[in-house]
Amino acid sequence: MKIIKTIIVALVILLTNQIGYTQKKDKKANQIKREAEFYKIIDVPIPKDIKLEVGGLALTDNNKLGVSTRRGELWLIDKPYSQTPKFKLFAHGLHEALGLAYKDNAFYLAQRGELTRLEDNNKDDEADAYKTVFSWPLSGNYHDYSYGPKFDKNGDMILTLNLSWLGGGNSTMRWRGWMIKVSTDGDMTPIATGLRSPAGFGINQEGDYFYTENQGDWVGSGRMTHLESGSFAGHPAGLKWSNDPLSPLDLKPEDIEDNSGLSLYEYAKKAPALKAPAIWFPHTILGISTSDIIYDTTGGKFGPFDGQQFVGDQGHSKIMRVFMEKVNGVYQGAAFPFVEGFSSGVLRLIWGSDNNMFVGMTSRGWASTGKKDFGLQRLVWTGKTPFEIKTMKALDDGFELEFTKPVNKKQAANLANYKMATFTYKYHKTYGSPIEDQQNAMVHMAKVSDDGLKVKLTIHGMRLGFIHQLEIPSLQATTGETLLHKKAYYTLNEVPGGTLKSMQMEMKKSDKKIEQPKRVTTIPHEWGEDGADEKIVIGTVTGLKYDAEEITINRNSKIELTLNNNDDMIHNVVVTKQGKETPLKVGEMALKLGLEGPDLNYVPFSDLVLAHSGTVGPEGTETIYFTSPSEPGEYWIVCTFPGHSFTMRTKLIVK
Amino acid sequence: MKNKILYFLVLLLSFSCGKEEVTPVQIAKTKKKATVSSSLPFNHIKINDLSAFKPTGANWKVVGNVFADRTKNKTLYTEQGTGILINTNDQEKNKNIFTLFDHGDIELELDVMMPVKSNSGLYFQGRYEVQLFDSWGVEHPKYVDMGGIYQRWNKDAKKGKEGYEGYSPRVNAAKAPGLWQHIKVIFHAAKFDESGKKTKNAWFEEVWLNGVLIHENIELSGPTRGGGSNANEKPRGPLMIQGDHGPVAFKNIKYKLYEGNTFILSNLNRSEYKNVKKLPVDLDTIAKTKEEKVNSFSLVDVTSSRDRKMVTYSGMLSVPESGQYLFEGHTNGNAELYLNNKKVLFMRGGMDKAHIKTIALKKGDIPFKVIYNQHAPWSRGFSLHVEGPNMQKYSLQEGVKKGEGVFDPLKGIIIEVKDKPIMQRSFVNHEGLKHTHCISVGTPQGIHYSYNLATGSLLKIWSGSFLNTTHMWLSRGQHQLGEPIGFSVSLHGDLEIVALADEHTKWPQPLPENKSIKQLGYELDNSKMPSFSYQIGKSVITNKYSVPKGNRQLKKSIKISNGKNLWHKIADGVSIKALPNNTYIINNESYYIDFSGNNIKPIIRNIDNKDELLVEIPEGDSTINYSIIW
Repeated sequence: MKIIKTIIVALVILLTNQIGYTQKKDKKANQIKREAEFYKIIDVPIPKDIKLEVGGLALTDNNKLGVSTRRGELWLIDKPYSQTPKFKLFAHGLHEALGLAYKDNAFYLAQRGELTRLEDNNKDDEADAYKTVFSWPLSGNYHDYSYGPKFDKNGDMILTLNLSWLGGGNSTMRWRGWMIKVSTDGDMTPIATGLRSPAGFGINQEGDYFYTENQGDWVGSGRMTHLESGSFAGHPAGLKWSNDPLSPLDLKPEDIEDNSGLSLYEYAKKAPALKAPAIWFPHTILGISTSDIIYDTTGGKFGPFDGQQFVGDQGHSKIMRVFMEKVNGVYQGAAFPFVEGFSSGVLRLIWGSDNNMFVGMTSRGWASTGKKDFGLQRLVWTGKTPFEIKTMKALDDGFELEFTKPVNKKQAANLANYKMATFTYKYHKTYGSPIEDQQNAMVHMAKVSDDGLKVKLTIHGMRLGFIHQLEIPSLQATTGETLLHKKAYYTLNEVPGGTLKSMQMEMKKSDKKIEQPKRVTTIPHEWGEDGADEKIVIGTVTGLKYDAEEITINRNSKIELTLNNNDDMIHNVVVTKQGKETPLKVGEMALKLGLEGPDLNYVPFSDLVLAHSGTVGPEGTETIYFTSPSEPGEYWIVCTFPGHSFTMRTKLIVK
Repeated sequence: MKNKILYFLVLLLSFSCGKEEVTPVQIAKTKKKATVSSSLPFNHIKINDLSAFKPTGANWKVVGNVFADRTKNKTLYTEQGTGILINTNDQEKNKNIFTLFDHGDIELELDVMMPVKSNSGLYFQGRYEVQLFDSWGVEHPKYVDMGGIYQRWNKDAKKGKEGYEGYSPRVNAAKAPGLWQHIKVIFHAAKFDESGKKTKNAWFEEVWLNGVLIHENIELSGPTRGGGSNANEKPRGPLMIQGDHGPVAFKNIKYKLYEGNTFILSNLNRSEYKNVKKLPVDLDTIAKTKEEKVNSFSLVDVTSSRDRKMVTYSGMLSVPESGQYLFEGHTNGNAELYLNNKKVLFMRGGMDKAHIKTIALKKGDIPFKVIYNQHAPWSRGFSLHVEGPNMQKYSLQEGVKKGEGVFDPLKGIIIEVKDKPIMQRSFVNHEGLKHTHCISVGTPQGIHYSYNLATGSLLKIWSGSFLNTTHMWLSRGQHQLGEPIGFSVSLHGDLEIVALADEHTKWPQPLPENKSIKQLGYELDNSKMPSFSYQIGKSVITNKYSVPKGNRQLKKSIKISNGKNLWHKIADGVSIKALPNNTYIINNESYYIDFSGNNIKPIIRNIDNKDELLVEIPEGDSTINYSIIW
């Protein structure tokens, strides 16, 4: 009887999972299709012999598009808005140019070791002068990427300098891990440090600087931080140079504890130079490697988000949207999904003269969900307004939402239509962070404005220093459509008036010890003294790969499988059933776990999964035990850490 | 360390206060570690006299120094002394010369100098010729060119069809006449059975010219033309150098003879254990997971899997003859080699790290043991090579291909030059150091160079194909290197121009963080050739390179503004010698500096056992032009 019950339960789970999978896959395709109704992704055709690994984009005064590349070329594209663009090589031979700006008839770009001005004095659309504006030392480490410039309101250039990677972020040379300012005459001023991998930055209308950060050591998740002179964004390596006379801050690397147990927001109270992020992009949910920032300066010609920010993501080939506000002098705001489905890793965003967006991409060495090695696409507003949460503003006891279209008032007043959870990340030396201290908050009241465009939510359980995840799954506009994106993530550093009045409530903590029966990390008793029949070890290599293409094991064998993670990212191993599509399916399911992902080691409850490990950090290891299938065939080992399953897999041949 | 920083700040201040001169700051160049040779010593032919050779004609002499007249055909000038073997033949005196020793398999290295349009040849066993010729400037080398393997000859064939076979060098790596050129050859003699019947053709395993592998595994069906009285193939014969086609000079002639000796391993046992963290370890304390008798020694199965395990081989090794044996091991895990129950090698630290030990072994059987510990799936890799008397270096481990895992600059991502010059910035390795602010320029004329923007100096010059960027553009490009394709000449790479107190002041090293010079970038002329500028103090220095028509050379033109107390280091080397017409020869890298276009004269000074060619730059604005010829 019991057995029958188990079988039925198993069958039900199996069916639901499979149906669930198909639904989810369709859902994703549907989502991209729905987004395309409002924002269309259009290829800019690239001639076959050009490796347009985009590092920087800039528009010239005569409406040509400049594209700098990782192979050191600068292409000038005439008619980039058409399907017949003309490519002209303006400059070449640069060292991985990861930025581009155009001003006063010259291009400016960062190479690995210098900021360069490119001039075309004889006007033949080819650079004839490569002038060094400012040069900085390099250690020879591949991770010393240099980004920029962008011009600030005074006509100075802002650049950011990546940390070296030596088993951890390291400032091997002066000003690595810093944002610096360089005048067109070559005078350099260091602005702020604590940067790790600052591939994107932007300057707002007021002239304030923001940069985006990639998850890594000291960085629990992707984020955007407002930087002022003397700010410290969190990675201590760059503090090495705080003894330089030009340094605007005195903080020393040793002043920062490796493992305080605190969140960055809490630690910032101990170290005032430390700047809590204005925006967190929850890792694997809103991207995995944030990149460029641009402000919507189109005055409504790109849709209803005038003044907001768009932020690229390299690993997830998508663009997020950010609404930011300044509360008590502190920047903070909400991040929303915007458009996904780009062809390669999104690194650079700029506006075309038609008020649509150029999206420059590369994925060499840093895999992305968009499968192409590189690409250039345009994101074009179709003129239709999507139903979206347009803005999300903090109140001292809740949030005020503004929608792009009037909402169904009855639904909007229904509290059951809202879900909110709060969580944060650890600030520590370790690579990445689990989701920390997740709690549910409660929507106590929802008051709809007369015009139906705004809803004021009164929330119980808001917490300063936490990310507030809002979900509105089924709310409709008066037109009947549901929200194009149903989630928002607000980073709450301050509330208006300075005092949080949200009623606090006792909340159940996230149950982190979720039982995962297919993760067996000790030798099963029943294996007896002989232990495993076969021991396999699988390692990781950079570029999101395991170090083996395939592994062969015997059927019905006791297998000991060890994952040695030698990469600088987090990985797992998931042994899946047969089928070419299986790794992808399981990967997709893992992606959809959302906030639950980390607690579940990014492994979905699915019969496609035969066995799996937990997540293993850089230089970490985990050994799991399982019995190999009785049916010979081609199975898979796949990493289901979001975004990895496309490339990170090993064929498991069962003999 | 503190002192250095202080020094630095002082310097920084002196810059910002607008003082004109750069204070020369001495920073001790890190001493290069003495490297253990990965080869047993060669036999050197002492050229004190001609006693190593069979009696020959008066055209062969021993001299102390030799120079070619670059303006006249077949002309060498000599200085008395020893160390150099030269041939100066004429109508009467034109004999070939033969070594006293006979050889079968041989590895031979020597330096040779060809005067303008001269011709000679190295005849292995007196029968198989590697051609020596002044092939400078030849675009598509043939078998008659420097390093070519000469044709065979059938005198009975139709006229014009007598020549056959003959092998051209893969590229022309020949240097200019009068420069020392390095040749390395591994030759294998034809083999015969007891009845004297040939069982295997003679073959050239490798022929190298100036560091470029120009032939590989070339089999010869018989002697090449001019083998003369030695045309009858035999297991042995003397090395012959041709003396009837023009003057030629040799030095540093060295060789090793091989008899095909190898070790024979017997009674081999292979055991497997669970891996340990690191070696050494007491094997008796660890449980064996597997043990078997095997016929060959190979860890390839382990190193090609990700398994963590420890494997040992033990057995007997039969030493074919008494003598010195060199063992060279590399591993990405940890490994140990025991002979006669004594530890000979302890290996760790990656495949790039060579562990070398030379020991004396007596003829006979000795115990042999290798322990290999693969402690992590990415820490895998093992090689063990041995060389000994009459034993060519070979892999003691079976299943290892020659040259496996060695970077081939001809393969991967390559930039070729078409009709316009191409520039490419990258990191560049130069004499063991990685330089980060470099640019390589390839010209349509086929002359290319790497230039260090942070010191203003040339690093490398080369000809042929341009640049391999695999180590920059494959995946993340961990090395970020641009690497020359083909043979390159390495220049000094130090600061190009500095202020010196006087001509005895030591040449300073660059300051950390490239602080001694301010890079200004580069501009392109109408033909798209760049000129590079930088600033030291108040002086702006502009470097321009051009490729004159004709033979292989690079012309350097330096423009200096506001010069004061400035010196330019043109070259350094083991020895620098002034030749007529303000021309200099720089050894051992062996290239010419033609300084004739200037009305100032450089000085040669010896400092720290190194010759330096320096020139004082006139005060104010000036221009210096010279050519580097190789």
